[in-house]
Amino acid sequence: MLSPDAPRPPRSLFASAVTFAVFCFGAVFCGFGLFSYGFWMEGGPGAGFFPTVFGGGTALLAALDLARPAPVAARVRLKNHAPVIAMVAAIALISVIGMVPAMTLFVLLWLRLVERAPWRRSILVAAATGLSTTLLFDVWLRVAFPENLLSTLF
Amino acid sequence: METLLALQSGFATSLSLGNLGAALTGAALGIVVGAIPGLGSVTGIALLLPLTFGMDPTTAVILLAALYYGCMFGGAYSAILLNIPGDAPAVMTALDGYPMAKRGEGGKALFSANIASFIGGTTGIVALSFMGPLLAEIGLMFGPPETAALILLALCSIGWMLGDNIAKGLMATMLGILLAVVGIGSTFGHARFTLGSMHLLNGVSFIPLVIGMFGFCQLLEMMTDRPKPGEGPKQIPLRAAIPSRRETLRLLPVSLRSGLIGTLVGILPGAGATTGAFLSYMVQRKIGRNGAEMGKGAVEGVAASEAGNNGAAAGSFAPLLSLGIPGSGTSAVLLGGLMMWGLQPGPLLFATRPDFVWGLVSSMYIGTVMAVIAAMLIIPFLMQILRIPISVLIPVIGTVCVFGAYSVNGSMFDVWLMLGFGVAAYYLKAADFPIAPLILAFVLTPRLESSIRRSFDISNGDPWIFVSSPISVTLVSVICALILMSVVGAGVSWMRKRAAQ
Amino acid sequence: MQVRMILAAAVAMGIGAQAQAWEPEGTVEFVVPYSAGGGSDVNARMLAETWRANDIVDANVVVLNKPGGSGAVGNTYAFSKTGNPNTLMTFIAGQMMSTISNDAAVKLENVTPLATLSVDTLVLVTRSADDFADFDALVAAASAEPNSITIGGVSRGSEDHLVFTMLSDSLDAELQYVPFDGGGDALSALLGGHVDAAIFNPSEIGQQVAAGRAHPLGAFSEERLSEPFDSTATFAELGYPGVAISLFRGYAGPPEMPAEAVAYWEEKLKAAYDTEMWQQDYIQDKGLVARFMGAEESAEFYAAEAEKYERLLKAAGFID
Repeated sequence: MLSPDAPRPPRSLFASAVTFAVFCFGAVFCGFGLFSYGFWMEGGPGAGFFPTVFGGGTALLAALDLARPAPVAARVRLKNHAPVIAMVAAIALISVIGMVPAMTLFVLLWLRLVERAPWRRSILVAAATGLSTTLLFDVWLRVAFPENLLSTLF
Repeated sequence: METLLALQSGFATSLSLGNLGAALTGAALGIVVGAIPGLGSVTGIALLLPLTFGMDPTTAVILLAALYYGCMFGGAYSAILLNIPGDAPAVMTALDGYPMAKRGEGGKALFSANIASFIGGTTGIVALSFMGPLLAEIGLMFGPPETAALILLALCSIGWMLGDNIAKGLMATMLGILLAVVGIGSTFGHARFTLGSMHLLNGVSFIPLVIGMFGFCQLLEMMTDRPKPGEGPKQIPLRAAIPSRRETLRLLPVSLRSGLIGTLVGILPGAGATTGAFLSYMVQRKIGRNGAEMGKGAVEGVAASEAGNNGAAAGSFAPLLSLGIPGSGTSAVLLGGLMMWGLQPGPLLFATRPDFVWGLVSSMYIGTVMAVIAAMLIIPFLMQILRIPISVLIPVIGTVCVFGAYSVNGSMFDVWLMLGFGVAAYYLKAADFPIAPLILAFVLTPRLESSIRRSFDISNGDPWIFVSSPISVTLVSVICALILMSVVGAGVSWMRKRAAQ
Repeated sequence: MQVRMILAAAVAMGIGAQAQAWEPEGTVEFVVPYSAGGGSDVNARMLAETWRANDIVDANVVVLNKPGGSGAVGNTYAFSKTGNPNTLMTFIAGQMMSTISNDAAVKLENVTPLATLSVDTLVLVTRSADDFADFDALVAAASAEPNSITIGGVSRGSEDHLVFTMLSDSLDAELQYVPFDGGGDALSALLGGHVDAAIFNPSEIGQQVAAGRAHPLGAFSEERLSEPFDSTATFAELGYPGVAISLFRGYAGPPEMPAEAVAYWEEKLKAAYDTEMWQQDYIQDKGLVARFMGAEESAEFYAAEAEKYERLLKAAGFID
């Protein structure tokens, strides 16, 4: 919390960008609700009623928020995106080598390369992850894992 | 008295060493299945059903009832330990349970959650055994306008969790509503906002949404907000985590009240455990001594939520057993297993198959007792998870998120959806948008929309239908009072601020 | 020449052997596109139980409710399992009808019909004879005040909605249709008195009628139904000829289901049909008409029905 007489930090560009995205999201729902799904039909709220009201409400509040000079401190850091990048790679890998191997590899490489854990520990944790997911999902629950290149080839 | 005798004969058939063993096994398996995000009682019962085929029907039903309760108990674990609610009612549990775990009180949160589950569930079962038919008749009084008003009440009470920035809280709530209208609406029968994608025709799935916005988002925040090695909160030891008699007594009124509220909501067609957990939590916040602490890691919050959803699960059996109406989801899950008894759900069940009804009710008692015993044995092991360093936890949580999102519908689309929602939630939170209201609005919206539309169909376009019965008048008045109070409250605090300046 | 014949024979034998050898592995998902407790749900659970109790199918068959969108949600789910031999779906007239009325992406062409086991119909019921003694009383009330009489049913553009329109069109009075998410929801609204009458499958409401908690006003069938509807007049008897519907209850698989899987499930459905348990506990107890059609015959029948519904829906003004 800021004390009233502290100098106000400049409005964060990032926070404004997020609020603007929220504005667009609401506006799209409002527009489609109003013009293509039917706001009111046969004496009652139609399929477009909720999207129009709440999309419009979202867009309105977002617009007001953007117009307000209230400061928002952004807490987003570049470093926090590392898991996203690693995850995208890991999920993409699922369709190539299968779910359990891909996730095991993800755990191993993450621990070794990002967390700089010793090899011994990385391999131990990765092996434990692979083993427990196999036992739980494959052997016991018999979840049908997504098809992958390896399983189609062999 | 008649009930007691009937119950006694129910217990007479169901109490044996073998049956108790079956109940303990079922409870333990249920806890494991329930604790895995993305899996729930449906999967658990499906798995166990073939094993019960050779069994004596009584044993089979006890096993399934115990499994069902085990799942309800286990659902709180991932919410508390990893901030990943495995099902909708557990969202409320995560709100207080995870902050407790972060403070080092995870073990206490786990024990309290299960003690509350037990008390709430038992309250519900007792109500079911003594007033089942009566409760079912009360449930019938809730038509579409009453249901709409009740859900609207729940939605309005999201207000308190909007945080410091009310405008952003409201926007988050509305974002949740908007996400919920995606897909084929039940009442309109045509697709909305599906972007031409077949996967979105079913709407946005709840599990990927919640795993992304709670679990994966949490993981992203852990990257920077992690305590330095050796500096993190001290984990309280097992001995201190087990609630003392005094602490248990403190949980008792919360759990009883929440269990009762949950039961009453559970009997309503389609309102379900989420609304039950939610309203219990809200009532606790309004009248409990510790209200202001709730949402920041109050043990009462965990207790209210867990007792509420277990009460609701028991309550949903009332319309099934006495009227033959399966309350949505929860009670229907057991139905598949119960068909083995040649059950014909209908209003005559109590009269024609009392052995079945009382056998089931007594196995619910046994199931919940066994679940609490199994939970007390399992929790000390679970507490070890709290000792795992964050560096190891990050990739493991990532893996849990992927498997959890995938296994609900067996769809890779859901995994990508989970990832997308996780990143979106991270940005939204960084820009001061709260996430919990979004998730709760998402859960409540579909039923609200269809109930409103249905009310207009019934009244032929007349909006007065929403104040046409004593129940709806009461609910609408409470909603109006709530809104008025918060507007006046906001005005007063604004004036004070002005005066202070 | 000879070589080629031997090759062909070998290939044919290979296929034959494969067809015999195919068995479902792991868990079989039995998709019900309606909520638990409805007609399709009871049907699926009963069938799974018949398979199990008579040792017809060894695999673990799990009923999966995918309600919503007038059945389109379940259809879409089954469609998303394209080529999967371990996914079955209940496929009924109303479900096919909603794909037509909603112009849904997944249509009859997108599923693989497996077999049909019975024909169902609908009944109109009210809460008790005190509300409306018979259908004429309901019509009289509706004439007195247009749109004051509400009739509950499942979904918009469904078979319930269609018979409602057929009935409503042959009256001078205006009735109001109220769509619910599923049979269970409609039932609790009827028992609670929130709608004046509702349309159900006989199997959904039979227990309530026997217990005196519901009172049948008329049957949308060609002939009288069995107990407890034996004293319920058909709408033709009541003076509304043509207001009747025969709803098939069949089963389908996802598109491109392997031929050997289709053959397997067709055979297993026939086996279930032939059991005493199915005929006694399902067909007879639920007041249905037993009728077996294999995969090919079902496909033809469904296509013909689809054409008929399209015509009816057009005439009723649902689609253009």
